[in-house]
Amino acid sequence: MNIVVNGLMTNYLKAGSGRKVVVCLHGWGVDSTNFARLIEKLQAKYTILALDLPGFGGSQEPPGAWGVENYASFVNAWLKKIGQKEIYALIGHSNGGAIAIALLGNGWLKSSKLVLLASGGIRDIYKMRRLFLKSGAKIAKLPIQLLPRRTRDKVRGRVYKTIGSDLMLLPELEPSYRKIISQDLQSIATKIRQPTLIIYGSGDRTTPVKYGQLFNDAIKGSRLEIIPQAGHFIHQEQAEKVAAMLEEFLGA
Amino acid sequence: MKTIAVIFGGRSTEHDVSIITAIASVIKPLELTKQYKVEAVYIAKDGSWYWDDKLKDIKLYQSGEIDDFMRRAPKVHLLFDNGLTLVKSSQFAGRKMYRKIDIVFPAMHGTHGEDGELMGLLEMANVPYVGCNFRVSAVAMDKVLAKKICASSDILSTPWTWFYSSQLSQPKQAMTKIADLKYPLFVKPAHLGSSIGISRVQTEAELMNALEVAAHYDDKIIVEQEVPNVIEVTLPIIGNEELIPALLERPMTKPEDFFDFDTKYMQGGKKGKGSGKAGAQGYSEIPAKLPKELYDKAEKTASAVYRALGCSGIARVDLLIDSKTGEVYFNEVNPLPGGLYAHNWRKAGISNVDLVTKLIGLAEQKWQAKQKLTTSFSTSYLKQF
Repeated sequence: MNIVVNGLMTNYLKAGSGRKVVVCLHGWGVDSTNFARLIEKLQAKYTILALDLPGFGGSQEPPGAWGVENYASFVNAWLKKIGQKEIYALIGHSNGGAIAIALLGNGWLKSSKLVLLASGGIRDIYKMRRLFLKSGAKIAKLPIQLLPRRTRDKVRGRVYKTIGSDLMLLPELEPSYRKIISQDLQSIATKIRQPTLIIYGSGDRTTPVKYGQLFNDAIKGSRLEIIPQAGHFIHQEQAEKVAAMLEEFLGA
Repeated sequence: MKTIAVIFGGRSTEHDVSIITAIASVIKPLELTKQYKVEAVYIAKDGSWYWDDKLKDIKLYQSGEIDDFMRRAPKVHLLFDNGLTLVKSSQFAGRKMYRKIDIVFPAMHGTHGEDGELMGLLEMANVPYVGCNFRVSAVAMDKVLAKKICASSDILSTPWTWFYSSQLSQPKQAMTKIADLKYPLFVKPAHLGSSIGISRVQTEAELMNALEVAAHYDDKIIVEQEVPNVIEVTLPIIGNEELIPALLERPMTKPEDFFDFDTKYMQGGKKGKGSGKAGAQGYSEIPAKLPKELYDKAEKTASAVYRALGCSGIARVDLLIDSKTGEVYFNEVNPLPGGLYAHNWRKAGISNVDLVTKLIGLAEQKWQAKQKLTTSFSTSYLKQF
């Protein structure tokens, strides 16, 4: 379904018809369909709302460089526009998790429960590694500039992918991506009061289990579950396990 | 050997569909006839024109090499010399390449192409071209005008209304216009060809949001009442004076499925489920299984629409049938159906090669008839001045 939110054409989907409303926020470089397997399993019990965040799927690009807060307030505006007041749970994957933390930690949105799936939003650890990569990128930039544009884009894309960065995934959203990855959400996470379920995959390289432990420490009364041999897209790789954990956490 | 320019791509949301129409349903069959020299003219998304034999290969677009190609290739000049000539740099010693075009085959969908803009240009060049002329194309791609013309020829449409997007600033006025219609309603941008910007609304609360969505894409909005017990059918037709209909085709998805999560996202991954559906647009019934009387009525209505609007060459007429009352309603016209609806023509006994050959013949016939009309004559105005 399409709707205009703050002047941006926004695509979203609504599935199921349960009394409890669950809102899903997807990660960087994917869209609402990334939750398809999960929705398939949950729609019998809950009403599920999932939007394509601006710049992804069928939604228009943001007008400038958007940070986590911009995305969070956009989600809020979208829920208001579709007239959804009561939200039972917020599920955020990866960057969607960071947005969910901003929404609840800042008290912008009311939701009874929170689920973080391989959530992003930890930026301060591995500082040395990042510094090393950053200076490496600056040095490598010079010779790469001499290559033809297409080859240059290819090389950049491959390099960033290897180091586990989504920077070149959507070149048109590069300014937003740079802004988002500079924001650490641990202190905002400490303000969350909702019961929170945190799920990470043990083999996740993008958002390692360490992030989960940090969020588990920051959020009062949260619970951390680690799924063995699962990567970053746990809700796709292990849809049944994740769905079972969710059902148990969210109740009927 | 006559030279045919196939023009495709363009600044439209249906850019990619147009590439497939051009390469698979027009260029390939035209070359198979061995009667024509075919030139591929590609209009990029930014509106730049290119002309090259390499553009006939679908792989160029699939692999993304088209970006490389466009960086290197010279753009096309058009020469109007009481006809149309393509001109481009040969990239050798400053020489230019010229190719006189005998007939143009527009293979474009949606805005800036199917809507008459391209046909207007071809009309100025006085070159024969396939399909509806610029006036008909412009009218057909405006759902409001098309419905008004059909209404004046006593062809039924489901109750509808329209207004300019700018009128939304005073929602009360717009709402009074809509108040006479019964829910559920369809809200559509008046000019867009594909399903973009279309919403189905069941309540007044949903209506305002849907209007806003349509207004995002178009300066004109049309609101239509849903046909109850609806059977959707479509009929491709070719011809100028004498019409040849293909088979009445029934897409096997209900309108409400269109917005349904299951149809849109899940069906594709679950092919073996045996529900008979294959994706949103995958499967249709040809010919539509309708009682003979209803089939004939629908075919007659489609022909009436084709004539009322003044279509020539080819067009596809979409109809909505109330299966309980047997009433047939006009929905819309596509002056250039995707892929020419070759799959349907094949079932109707007309191969893709026959189809394009017939269309070229119709284009020439229409052009010759036009040459007989007097459009200029000598006067003594200048001497008297």
